[in-house]
Amino acid sequence: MEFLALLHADEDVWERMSDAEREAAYEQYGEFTQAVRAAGVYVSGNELGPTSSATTVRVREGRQLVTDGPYAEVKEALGGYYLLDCASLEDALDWAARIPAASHGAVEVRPVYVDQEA
Amino acid sequence: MQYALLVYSDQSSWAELDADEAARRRAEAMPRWLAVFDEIGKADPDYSARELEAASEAKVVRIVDGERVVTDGPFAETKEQIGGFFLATLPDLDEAIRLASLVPASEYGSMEIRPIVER
Amino acid sequence: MTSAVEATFREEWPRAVAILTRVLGDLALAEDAVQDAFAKAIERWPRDGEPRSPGAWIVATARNGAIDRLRREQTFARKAELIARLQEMPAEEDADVSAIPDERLALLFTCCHPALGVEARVALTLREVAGLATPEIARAFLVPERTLAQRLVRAKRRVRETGIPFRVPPDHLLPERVPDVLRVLYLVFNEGYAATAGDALVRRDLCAEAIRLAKLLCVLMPDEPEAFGLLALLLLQDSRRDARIGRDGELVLLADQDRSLWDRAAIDEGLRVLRHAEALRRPGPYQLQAAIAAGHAEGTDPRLIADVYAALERLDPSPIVTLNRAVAIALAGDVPGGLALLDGVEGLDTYSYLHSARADLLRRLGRTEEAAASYREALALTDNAPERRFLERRLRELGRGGR
Repeated sequence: MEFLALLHADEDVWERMSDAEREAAYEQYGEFTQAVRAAGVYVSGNELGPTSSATTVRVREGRQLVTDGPYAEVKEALGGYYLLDCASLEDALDWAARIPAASHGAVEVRPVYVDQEA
Repeated sequence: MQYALLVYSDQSSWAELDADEAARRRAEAMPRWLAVFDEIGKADPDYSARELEAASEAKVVRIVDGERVVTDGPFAETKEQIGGFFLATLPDLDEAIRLASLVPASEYGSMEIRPIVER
Repeated sequence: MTSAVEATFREEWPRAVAILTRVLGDLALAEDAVQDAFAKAIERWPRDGEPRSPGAWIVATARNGAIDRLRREQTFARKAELIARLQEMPAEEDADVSAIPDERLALLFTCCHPALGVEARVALTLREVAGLATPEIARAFLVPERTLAQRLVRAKRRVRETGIPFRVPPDHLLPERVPDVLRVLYLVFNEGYAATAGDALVRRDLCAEAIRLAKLLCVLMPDEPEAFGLLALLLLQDSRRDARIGRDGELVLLADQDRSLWDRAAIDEGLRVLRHAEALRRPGPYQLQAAIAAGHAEGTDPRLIADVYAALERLDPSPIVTLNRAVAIALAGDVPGGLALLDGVEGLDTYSYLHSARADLLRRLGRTEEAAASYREALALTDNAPERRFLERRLRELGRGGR
């Protein structure tokens, strides 16, 4: 069963980190990625550009509205995700807890929709 | 450049829909969604996409004082929630905007485009 | 720096930035290279004389400087590729600059891209396309230089990070992108024409800059009637700059202006440009607004002006257009009609002018109490000193002192 782990963390904190601190964080993520790969549950994962690089698009009354910035300004912004294929929700939550973002921010776990008819 | 196209919409009315109504709406919207997959596929044959279960099914995991804490519901208390995403390699932002505006949710919700950080 | 050299700089800056951006694929890198080249020019031209082809000199110097800098960079990712592209550029210092494709239009569209915030678009356009220095732009917008500098840094970073392409949009996108450019130019003009804060009602330099950019756009897009429409509008509005403020710094309404102070040359030019636009037979909102401004300049019957507003409203409906139409209808003699239209306008509750317009119509209908209330609301919503003095004076005239 696939689950999407959405990583939320304070962007200001990330901004203020030293290069060394950031390298250390990336190493931790690297370790997590290795672990989920080794366990055979890793499908994909990506770091998203910061909210300052987000663009929001809406279409209203046939007009395209493009705005700079994310859909919503949230204190702990969405910064990345992992797509995991786990045996159960419990497993997914176990893995989510090991993602570094769970310690400095939060990880939202969402079951992926599967079309029952398919 | 790789882009994530995040699909946001107001899911508050989903809980009120019975299974038949939900299925009917899905069938009705399907042709447009299929057209989107088609267009994105032309732009990037290796694109990926996922639809997500309702945000009400979400769980939020945090480590607080060394302990795992799990709460029910989505992370952010926002009107619109993520309902899915697309991931594609596209030539530029204009192309990402074009594809995002083809997604039906752009008409009743919002599409958020983020570049993927390549390391 | 002499004003002749300054003029050369302003002319050559956007050209050089545009060319280097095309080659390097990065606006920030391009700007750095051109900045260095200009620094060298300031040093050498007084000593060695201005080169025969200043533009080519700047481009060649920027190119060489960029190559040197890239070579010194150890870890720059695309170093080899960028050096190769720079080396392919023509390097003669006296090359015919007109032989190099004019990338300024691509630069303008990039700076005005809808994915950038409006403030970022304005700042970037003034810096890269108008060639204004950061302190100049900061002064014009009454923000600290540091704030403006940060805004520019973030804007350039956003252009790179989001993947905004450096190009003139393809034809099918132009209908939505051209208005984005026009809007930025109009914002620049308005900032100069009716400053939103502070004492100066008219900041002449910004108006002149907006007109200059609008002319450039017309040169670069000769088949785009709305570019001419905008230029006509700016020229016609600008023609009134000396009549808008009274001797004591007071705001003077159009109807009360001393027409001998209107710049007739600007009016004539504006009317010529408008006729050129209309000959292209593709009406648009800026052409209509220019027609309204022309109507004011030529003393056209207010009812005809109200009709043009109606046309504008059909083409480009917005509460502000409705507001202006309401004012025009009242000016044409139907004050109750204008007021009724105003009362239906939505979304402008924080717009000072809505309240002052309503106040004026109520005043003319003798509804003094309501007029006073509206003048007070208008006052609460504007920092502009001449506008405030005008509103306070109106309140006094009603016999109701203002705050």
